[in-house]
Amino acid sequence: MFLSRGFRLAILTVLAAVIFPGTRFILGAVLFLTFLVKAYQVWRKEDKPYFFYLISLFVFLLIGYFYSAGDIKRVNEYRLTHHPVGEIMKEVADGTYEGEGKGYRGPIRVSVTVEDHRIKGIEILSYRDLAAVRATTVSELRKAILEQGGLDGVRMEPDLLRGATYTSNGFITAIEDALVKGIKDYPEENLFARTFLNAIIGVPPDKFSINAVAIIFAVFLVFDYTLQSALTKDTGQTLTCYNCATCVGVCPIKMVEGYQFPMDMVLAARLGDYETVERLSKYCVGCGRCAAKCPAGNSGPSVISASIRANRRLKEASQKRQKAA
Amino acid sequence: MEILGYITLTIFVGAMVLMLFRKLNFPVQTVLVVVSLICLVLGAVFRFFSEGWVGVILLPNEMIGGIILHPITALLAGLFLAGALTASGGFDVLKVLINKLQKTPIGLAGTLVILIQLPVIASLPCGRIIAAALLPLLFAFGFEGGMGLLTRSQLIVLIGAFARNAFGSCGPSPIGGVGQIGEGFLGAFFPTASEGMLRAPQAFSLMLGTALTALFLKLITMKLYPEGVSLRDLPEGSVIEKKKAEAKGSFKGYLSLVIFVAALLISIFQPFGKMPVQTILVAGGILMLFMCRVSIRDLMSGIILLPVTAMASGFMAAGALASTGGFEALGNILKGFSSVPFLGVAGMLAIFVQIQTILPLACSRILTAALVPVLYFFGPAKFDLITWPQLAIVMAAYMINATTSCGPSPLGGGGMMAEGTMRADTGYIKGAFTFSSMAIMAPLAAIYMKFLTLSSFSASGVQLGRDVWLIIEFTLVIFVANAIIIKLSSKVLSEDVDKNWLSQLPAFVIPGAMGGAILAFCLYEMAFLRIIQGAIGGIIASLLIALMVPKRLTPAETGE
Repeated sequence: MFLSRGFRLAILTVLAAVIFPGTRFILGAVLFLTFLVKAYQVWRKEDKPYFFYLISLFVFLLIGYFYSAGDIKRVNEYRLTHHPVGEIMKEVADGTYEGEGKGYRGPIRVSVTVEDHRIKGIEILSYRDLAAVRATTVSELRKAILEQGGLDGVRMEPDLLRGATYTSNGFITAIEDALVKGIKDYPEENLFARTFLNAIIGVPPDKFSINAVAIIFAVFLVFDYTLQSALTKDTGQTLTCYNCATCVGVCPIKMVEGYQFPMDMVLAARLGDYETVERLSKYCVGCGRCAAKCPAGNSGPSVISASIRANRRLKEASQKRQKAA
Repeated sequence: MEILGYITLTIFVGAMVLMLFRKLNFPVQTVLVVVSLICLVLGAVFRFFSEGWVGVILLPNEMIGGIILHPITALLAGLFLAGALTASGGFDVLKVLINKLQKTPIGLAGTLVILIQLPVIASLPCGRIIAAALLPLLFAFGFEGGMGLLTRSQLIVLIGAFARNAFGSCGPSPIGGVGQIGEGFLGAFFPTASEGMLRAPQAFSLMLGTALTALFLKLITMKLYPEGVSLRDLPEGSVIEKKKAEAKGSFKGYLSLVIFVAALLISIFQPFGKMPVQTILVAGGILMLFMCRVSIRDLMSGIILLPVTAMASGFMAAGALASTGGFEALGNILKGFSSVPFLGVAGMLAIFVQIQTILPLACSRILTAALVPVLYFFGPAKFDLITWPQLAIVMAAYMINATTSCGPSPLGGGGMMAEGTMRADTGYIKGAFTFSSMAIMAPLAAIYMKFLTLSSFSASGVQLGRDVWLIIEFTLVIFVANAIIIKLSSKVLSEDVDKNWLSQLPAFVIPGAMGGAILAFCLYEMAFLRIIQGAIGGIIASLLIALMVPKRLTPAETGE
């Protein structure tokens, strides 16, 4: 009939993790822990082994992480001692190399020509930041690097970086990326480590990604909250409930079992809590006063009938699943 | 292109007015989305002929650019935390605490006063949250509710005053309140505006406005609609066995209340360094989720969808108006008003600050999202009609008026919850609610901003003694004058319903003029002409407000 809430939230979480690399690790961990708890409950109740599959997956992820982290550490240690400036430039063989850096609006790609261990030419292949920063920002930087024949001291030039830090850094990173290709046996992270870390961790979480996750979490809940009644036939009207309690004021019943009647029943239908609606429905006298007064035109009795139908469909589907199992 | 702005503005205002008069019976969100789409289509047609396809393609982006995410996500996070508080029984604990308060020396009267002011103390992002939780408790104080502590008229005053306080408490709320929209715009000049520049003026005026609402309900509304409430009193001669309120606080409830208060304090004072309010609130909610063992479904039952959808659709409509020149048209019209000799800028602003009380919609966020940018344009950012400090004063007056406008709205506004609880028909509380917004809250917010908030948010510093003394003086004058007007007006009310309705007009017009004059004084100090212009603007606004108060409630409820 419609996808269950848990499934919908899981799909939304995966979608967010794919789209926003900064939130990938946190959302992945939340999703994994949720599945782990569910699988544990299933194991305890039905003796199904999903819990152990997940534990195995966790062990694999742990091994993968430590292996990848070790590989990255090895490469980084080498890179720290082989930054293509100063004496290290002598290790860069003559030739033309292409490199890429991250600018403000996308990748910056360059082609660098090295002659006699000096930078002789820089060709900009792709530069999307042109729309956002002064055209002279990169040309000034390029001129300075060519005059020096290397990157020595360039990062310390504040006037070059002023106002376009991302672009300047991205441009220099692109040149560095090109130059290291000229260093013999310059190491690279292996394919597994790169793929693994990119897929599982994405961008390492920082305080911005935590804020993003907090907002995404609240947005998802409300999104799912609205989706529930939109997906269930005839209960869409509950979405327009203003919580104004006008219906409570005119209802001859007004209050049952601690619920404001019929408003809380309409809100229960919006949540997909059809059992509660069915239980409370026996108090409704069907006078329709609520429908006559509701500023959004909602009708308690019609919400009741739609919810009861939805509840039956749910029960039938559940019985079918049980039979099939 | 200029004509397009006037067309889209007419469509928007027309739709709002038709809704208010129940000629357009659709949910407010639907109307706003449809209006936005119509504006967008019209804009596309105009742009196609004037700028070609490039202009058309840019239009949707310009509209979406009008949506400010921060207040929406902050509201969501605030509702999330409040939902967790409701689900874990935090409000039941509040009820227990209220019961305990009655046994202290402040007694029942003191407890009720605290109860009435509780919404502004808690300052939740939507007044409906606390109203939904506590209105049944207030009802229980009466004969029909079982406790029998209050008479029918006392209960009407109690519920009405509580609702007035609740449906305005979204303004000073630091966790997704409507005032944050205004603070965002003021941030263009006052660097720390987003730390709560509008909070104190709104809370202060709301607190006193609540008192006058109670007075108005007692002395005028009950005489205006003598049969408007079907609440029953204890029959004469009978004795009721007084029951205690059935509220039990659980450990989970206490825990959730502590987490809630902690999250609120951390959001306001930021003791762990700058952090977005959304993160703190969601973290608080998740903490409650685990520590109080609340399910996601329980939590979601506390979320109220209207303010979220109203705000989102309001921003969408605002974006559509902005991209099609609707705001510029409105700005030009209002600027035109300011050149009318008897109105001037002061008179025009005196009307502008009352717009949302004149046109009260189900959620104040709808028009606030659309009108705050217009108000911002009056400042140095565009039309240069007023300076930045003057803009802050007008913003304070406008914002309290806007945030309290969902109270008297007959379109599913929060006040209908109170009317439902007191078994009154729609419109019963409108007079009292609009009166307090117009006559006391707007001028008091302006005074507070002028004499205290402005100095503490600008470089000039605070002279606390002088500022507080000035505020006390002005508050006394405004409060006492309005109380006298209410008292005198109540004297002329009689058995004739039609005559009564006309008799209440001076009760609106005189305070309206006073409110306009005070706003003008706050803006221009002792400029006599400006004060007169402000008073005239106030009279026009108050007449419009008074004429929107229902003459009589529906015959079925009045027994006619």
